[in-house]
Amino acid sequence: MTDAAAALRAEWTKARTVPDLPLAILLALVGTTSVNVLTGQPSAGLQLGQAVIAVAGVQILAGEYSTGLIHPTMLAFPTRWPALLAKAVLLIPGAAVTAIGNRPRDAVYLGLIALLGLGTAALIRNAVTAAGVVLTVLFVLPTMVRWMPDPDWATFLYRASPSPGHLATTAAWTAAALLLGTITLLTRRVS
Amino acid sequence: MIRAELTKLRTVRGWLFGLTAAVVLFVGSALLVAAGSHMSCGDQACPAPPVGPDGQAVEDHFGFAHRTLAGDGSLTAHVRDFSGIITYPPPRHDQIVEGLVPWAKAGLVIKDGTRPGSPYAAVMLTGSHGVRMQHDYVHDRAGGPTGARWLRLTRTGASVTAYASLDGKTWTTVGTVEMSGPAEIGFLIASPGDITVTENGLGGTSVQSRFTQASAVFDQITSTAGGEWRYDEVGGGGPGADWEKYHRPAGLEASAGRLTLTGSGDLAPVSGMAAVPYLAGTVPALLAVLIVAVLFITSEFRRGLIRTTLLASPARGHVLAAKAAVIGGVTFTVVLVAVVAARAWSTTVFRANGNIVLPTGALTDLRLAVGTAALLAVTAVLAYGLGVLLRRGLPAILLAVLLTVVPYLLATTSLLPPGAGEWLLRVTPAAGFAVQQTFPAYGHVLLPYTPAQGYFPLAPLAGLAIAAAWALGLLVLAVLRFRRADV
Repeated sequence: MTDAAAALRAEWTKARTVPDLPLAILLALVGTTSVNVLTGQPSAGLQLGQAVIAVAGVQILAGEYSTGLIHPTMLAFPTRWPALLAKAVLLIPGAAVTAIGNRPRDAVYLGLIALLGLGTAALIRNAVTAAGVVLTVLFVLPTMVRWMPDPDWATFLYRASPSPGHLATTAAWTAAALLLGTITLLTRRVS
Repeated sequence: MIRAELTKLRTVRGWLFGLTAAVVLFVGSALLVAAGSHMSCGDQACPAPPVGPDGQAVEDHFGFAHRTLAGDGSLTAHVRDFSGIITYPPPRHDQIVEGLVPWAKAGLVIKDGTRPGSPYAAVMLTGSHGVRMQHDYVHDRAGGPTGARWLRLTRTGASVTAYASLDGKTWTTVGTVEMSGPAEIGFLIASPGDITVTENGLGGTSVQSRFTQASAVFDQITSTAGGEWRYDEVGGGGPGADWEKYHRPAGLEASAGRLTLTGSGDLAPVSGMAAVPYLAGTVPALLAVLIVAVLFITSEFRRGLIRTTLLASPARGHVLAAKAAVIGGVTFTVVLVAVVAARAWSTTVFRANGNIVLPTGALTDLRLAVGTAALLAVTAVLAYGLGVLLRRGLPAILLAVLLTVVPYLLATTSLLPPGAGEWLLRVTPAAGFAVQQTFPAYGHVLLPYTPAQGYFPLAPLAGLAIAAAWALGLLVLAVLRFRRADV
């Protein structure tokens, strides 16, 4: 378990010293709160916040692939999973903070969305493509509901899209992304 | 320079894959939605709605008491009584109440026979919009003194003029339209369904229409056309509502200079039916395009290729413009091909499933195809501009999605109150989606003209112009910054 503790410490140092994550959390917090206040609809701000949080989840890992930092990280933790675990542990409270002022379940939701981003990044590696895929799942699936002619299809698609109202569905998406992402991380060459 | 950029776009495997994905997503979504649309009316194909003189699919269903009008002539009458019922209106939808829907119609009409979809000109009293002159389903104008109950319709040569009056002595002209040929002249009664909008529990809304019926008593009738008043329910022949079976059937009662006409329906462009859903794949394709457009510039920064590019052609503004032209032009072409393929293919599937393909008109089809291609091209340039400004892919793609897809999503679902949603579709680059509105909104047809139903607050070209202004503005900012920046 010392590996995990060391990884957590390493990740904490990175998160503290590179502005990406603090900036994303600040942006998500300010965006969510201001949209909530402007519209009076707590769910509207969450739409904005989840986009930022998802991209932060992608960046924390995919950013390492684009800068090459992934190599020292993987050298330090040859079993690889501690690094991923440490990133996940850091992301969850960061994401949950964004939901201050919303319902507690929204904090859980944002945590899941951050992990969805992390899992997708582990799977796809290219930051922009991974972000595009996550944003597609978050925003494009719901826009397709209105095109569905058959009420059964529409209901299925609605239930299958991650949303603050469907924590179980969201968790399933996150679990799938993390599972595939972890397998990729453990089995594929780093670059 | 453009050739160099084209070569880059063509040879990077990921970008080519992204553009292919955009086409596949566009066509695939259209096919999927078309394949899921089924319509059946018992064992046979559903009857297509009639087509009006202007080429739109129309509803032409009303009670018609008529005589033949050979040449010139006129008809004058006083509307003694105008009343009706509405079945199960909001809020509780639990009883049948007396009343008229806003566009219930009672009045005089000259029509080219009783064939549904034929031309007509009419002057009428409406439920709550006063006296109107309407013709050929899509044209509507208000007129006459407030509270007028006297109506007159005259034909002289090829023109039909409508008048209204408070007392039957002094007459005010409501309007004149052209209409010639043999015709039937007489009385009309119509009452469109009562429209209510409910949230459907899927983040969207659904529209319901409930049966209504109107009844009018006409007296003090003066007609130059002779003969009996013959009654036809134009466009009727359906099974009839329970109310008609058990309480009051549609029809005509004549007695001592009085005509009582009872009926339902409307003379209006068809509403509440979907066109072929071939634009269903716009948002998925848009996302693929956004990714390619952002990567098209940010990977030059990341890999340092931008230095080589600028060595080869040091005019920085020109380089940026050439790249913008390439990403915009390629997106436009690719999406145009996708729209044409999606339209042809999904129309076949849509029709094979028994759906009615509503006529939209060649100009509208052209606008939808070229407009959708332009919308995606403009949005691609916008994303590219963000990429130049921010230089990093992630914030650029995030901002691009937040500016385009998210406002569209918020406005077309019930996440925001409708007013806020429409406001988003006026000021954000998502305004460009207005170019995809298939049918115009008609003032004389009561419907929820909301983004969720495919109606946008801006005119198609105005919306596209807003999106283009965003793209151009960001591009100019990017050029200004890039000229002075270090690479």
